[in-house]
Formats: sequence, C-alpha cells, structure tokens
Amino acid sequence: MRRMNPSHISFVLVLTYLFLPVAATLIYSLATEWNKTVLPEGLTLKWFAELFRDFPFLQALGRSFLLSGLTTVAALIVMVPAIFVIVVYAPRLERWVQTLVMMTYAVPGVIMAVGLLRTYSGTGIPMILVTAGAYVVGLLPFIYQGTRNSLRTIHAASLMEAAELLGASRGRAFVKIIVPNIMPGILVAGLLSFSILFGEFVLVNMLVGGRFETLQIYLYAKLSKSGHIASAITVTYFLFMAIISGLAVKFSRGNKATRKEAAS
Amino acid sequence: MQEPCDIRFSAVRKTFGAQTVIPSLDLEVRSGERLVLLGPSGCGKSTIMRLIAGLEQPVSGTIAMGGQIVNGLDASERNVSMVFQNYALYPHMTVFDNMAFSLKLRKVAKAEITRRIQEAAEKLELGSLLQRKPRELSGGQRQRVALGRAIVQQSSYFLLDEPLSNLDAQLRTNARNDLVELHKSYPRTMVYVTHDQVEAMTIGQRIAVLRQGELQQIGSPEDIYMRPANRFVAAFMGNPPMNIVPVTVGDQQVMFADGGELALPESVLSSLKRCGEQHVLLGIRPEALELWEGDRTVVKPFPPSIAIRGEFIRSEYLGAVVIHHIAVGQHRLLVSSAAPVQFKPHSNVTLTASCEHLHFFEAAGAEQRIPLTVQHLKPKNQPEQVLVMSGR
Repeated sequence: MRRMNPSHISFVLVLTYLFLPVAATLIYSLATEWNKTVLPEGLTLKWFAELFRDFPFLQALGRSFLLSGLTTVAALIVMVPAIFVIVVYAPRLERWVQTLVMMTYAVPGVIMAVGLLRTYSGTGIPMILVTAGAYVVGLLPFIYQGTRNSLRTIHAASLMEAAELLGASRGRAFVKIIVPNIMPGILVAGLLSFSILFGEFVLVNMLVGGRFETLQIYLYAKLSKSGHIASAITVTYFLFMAIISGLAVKFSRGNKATRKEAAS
Repeated sequence: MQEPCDIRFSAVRKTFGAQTVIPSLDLEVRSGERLVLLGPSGCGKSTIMRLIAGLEQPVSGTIAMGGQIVNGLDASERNVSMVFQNYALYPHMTVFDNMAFSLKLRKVAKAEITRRIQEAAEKLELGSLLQRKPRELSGGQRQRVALGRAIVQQSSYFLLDEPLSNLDAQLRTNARNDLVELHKSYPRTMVYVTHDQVEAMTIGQRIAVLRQGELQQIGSPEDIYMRPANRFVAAFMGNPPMNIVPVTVGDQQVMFADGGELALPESVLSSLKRCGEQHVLLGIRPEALELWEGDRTVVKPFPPSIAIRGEFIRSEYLGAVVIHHIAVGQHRLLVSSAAPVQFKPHSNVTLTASCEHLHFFEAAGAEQRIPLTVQHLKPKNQPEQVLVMSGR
C-alpha cells in the first residue's frame, strides 16, 4: 500500500473539516431520534415531508430566490459595464473603486441596518427596496474582483482597440467581444453574489423582518422549534445551492458549445 | 502632387500627463512603402503607430493621411488595419469568425466574405485551421491569423506593432520573408514597429530610427548602416556594435586619451578641421577592421588606410562569425572576422581599416556625423600607408 504523504493527510483533514458538519446535519435531518445514542435510532423522511408541506417555507424559499436573484442581476447590469470602463479607459479611478470596496467591509451589518432604518424609515420608500439597494452596494467587492480579473486575463484594452480598428463602435465591441469573453467571470461573480445574498440574515431581518420572511428568517424561527426541521432546511438549502452551482457551470459550458456550433 | 496613401506628421507632439513622449515630430511615410520605426523601448515608436491608427490623438501638430488631415478622426474611420504585438485575436471566435468580424460589421455580402477569407487563408496557409479557436493554434499560426484579419479588411494602411516578437528565432526568420512577400501581393503603405535591427533591415525599404520621441535618421537600411547620422544611430545599428573611441584632432593625426596617436590622410584630417571641433568621436565597425598578427607596418596603399596596434585578448566563436577583443591602450575594440585565429592571449596584433570605413562624430551636443572627404588617389608627399597608433 502506498504511504500517505503529509499533503494527502492535510487534504483528508480539510475534507473532513468541511464535510463532517454537513454529514452530521444530513443525518440529523433524516433521523427519527438522535439524542442519547452514538448513531441515530432510526431513519425517516418525515421532517422533509413536513417541511415541504409547509407553505410558508416554500414562500420563504421563493422570496429569498427572488430577492437574491433580482438584486444580483441588477448589480451585474450596473457594475460590469462600469468596471469595464474604469479598468480599460480610466485605470486611475481604480484606486477609488478599491477604496469603495474596502469601505463595504468597514461597516458592520448591524450598524448599516440601523443607519438605513434611520435614514429611510418614514420616507415612503419600501424597506425591501432599501435592503436590495444595500445588497447591491455590498456586492461591489465580489463583482469588481471577478470582472476586473477576467478583463485583465483577456487583455480587454487591446481587444477593444482591435475591434475599433476593425470598425466596431465601443458599445458594440463591448457586447460582441468583451461580454462573451468575460462571461465565465461574470457567472462566477454572479453565483458568488447570489449565494452570499441567499444566506444573508442580519440586514434583511432588521430592515424588513417578518414582513418579508426569507429562508434565513424562516430557518431562524424554526431553530428554536425543531432541530430536525432546521437540519432539513439546511440540507435543502445546501442542495439548492449545489443545483444552482451545477446549472451555472453547465450553462457556462453550454454557452461555449453553442458558439462553437454556430461558428461551424 | 501628393500621393494617395502617404502619411505625413507635421510638428506632432504627444504627452501623457506630465511626460512628453514625442516633443515635435516631422515624418513622412511614402505611399506604398514599407517603413520601419526602429528604436529602443520607450523611444515612442509604438505611440507614433497608435497616432497613425487613431488610438491616440496628438496634443498639437497635424497628421495627414492620403492628403487629408485626420486629427480627431476615430480609429474606425481611418481605413487602417493593425496587427498587435499580442495579436488581439478574439478567443471566443473561430479563425474564420475572427477574420470575418470587420467584414460582417461593414455588411459585406456572405459570398464575398468567404471569398476574401479563403483567398487570404490560402496565401497564409491557414486553410485547414479556419474552424479552430485561437487557443488551439501555435504562436506562428496566431500571428498569421492576425495578419489575415488585417488583410481581408483591404485597408489602405497596414500597421504592424512588433508582430514577430512572440515567435522563436527560426520562425521569425521565415516570418520576415513571408511579410515582405505578402507586401508584394498586397502593396499598401506599411508601417512596422520593432526594436530588432535585423527585422528592420530585412523588412524595411526605409528605416526611421527614433530616440526619446525624436527622429534620429530616416533612410534606406544601407544608408542607416553605412552613413549613420549620429553616434546614437551608429551605436544602435550593428551587432557587434560599432567601436567608438573619443579622440582629439591634432595637426597630422588624432590623439587618443591615453596618449596613443593615429595618423590620418590629409583629406580626412582637413574634413575634421573644417568642422572646428577639437574633440571628436572615432567610429569603426568591427567588420571594417582587419586583424593581423604582430606589428604590421605595410598595408594596402589604396584606398588610404589606417593601422592600429593592439593586444589580442580573446575570441568569441559564434559559428558564422568570430568576434575578437583587442585592447588598444585603455580602449577595448571589437573585430569580427569569418575565420577563427590562433593568437596567444596578450600577443601583439595590428588592426587595419580603409579610411572609407571611418566615421567621425561630434563629441558634444547632438553628436552629429562629421562628413569626411577621403581621397582615393594617392596624394603627393603622403606616405603610402598611414600609421599608426598604439597605446601599448
């Protein structure tokens, strides 16, 4: 038998660290009882059945999906062209963008929530829109980093210059040349943003709370009631994210295959 | 009358912020010629090309193309094709789509697009690669795709920004010839940027040598090599580089800083005296020097020649050429020859050269070339052979 070298051992340790909690949560969500024994006393799907029969859960899932999805799409539409213009045509402004990126980390969620509440409550603007607006700002670091790296990898500036010399307008060159080439980067940034927003609790709980119950708020409410249900929610959430990741990867590959077919 | 596809820079100035890249440039590219912009990195050659392309705009001065002033005109309006150093091929498109991009934008008929691409692909040996993506191609193939993309545009001006710098040496030699052949098939005004003098000499019908945004000399490769306009051009062109030694002009000779003397024919000396400079620079190309064993005093009487005594240090064997290092006083001169020599280190040697191959430059200011008159007939009262300096 081959001896395991230290890198193998550390790899196994990291995997254990990552998957042990997930495995324990999965088992707990499938266990009839798991209190005083080493292994669960029995296995059942009743917690999942109960969860999916619960209409508020499905509503919460839908709300989370809608809020995270729309906010991510809005952030991408606003930020990607802006980051492109800054990176390619005004690199001097990158300093300021980097400062902004740092500032989004500088404000803790609770303080931001209090500030937003004080500023916007009573103005007539729905707090869910304020939340979405705050989310867009919070996504800046992820979208900026992903987009900028993609633009640098493809040498966006010279691709644009070549396109201009070949007779394309800047707008057209951006859509036809730059976007297809940075699409994997945009997808990764979008996915990362979506999953961060999907798991966000502090801001949405303080700004809208029970008036717009997202999956995280629902999970929090269920934590005190049933550990099994809470585990089932977590497992569902995990699987949901895994499916979205898989779809994004598949979409990215499918996109390339379609272009290849179209070209031939 | 002005030719239709020439490019004319008049007092063009370009700055980036506080940094002046081109102080004031006057330059003419003739219609249909291959002009090479040559200079070390940072000399402004790429900026000049980008000014022609419309990717940069001058701060002042005018750029005219085909007789029309193009200041302020966008890149897409200048009828220019350009091959970038990194080729700038579109990674998500096939070779065919890369080449068809500009034609589709201009709504050229499909049949015409296919015809042009196939014609260019045949010429560039890309026929079997049209459905591949750039990442599936070698460096040489990518470079040809970039050329193809520029050719099918059928623009009047063809700009190439160091297109061979990413290729290996063998491929570069072939690509140089291919480029010249290609220009014969598509005779357009071609501006080629490089820092490689071999590329410049082989590709350019004329070469413009640049330094710090200023034009040093423009002329045929032979002109630039044989009659460099100043010390910079002389030192920049040629490998191994020209030997350049500071000398002081005397009555019958020039003196080296360490006391050695070199007698010169009267005609050469009077040329030097005419320019009024006492301190000048003497330049001799390594291949213009002949290397002889021992202290030699008799050399060919015609044309007038010089002889320099020195000490053999060592040779570098490079295959087709051998470079010899010779100490002459405190100076180290390089001599190149086709054949190796078997001299012992520190043995006495003599270097000879025809006076036609001597270059003199001002030692101060712009270090301009001092024009020489070398008499080819044997003058009266003058020794057959002119001797000799040695700092040994």
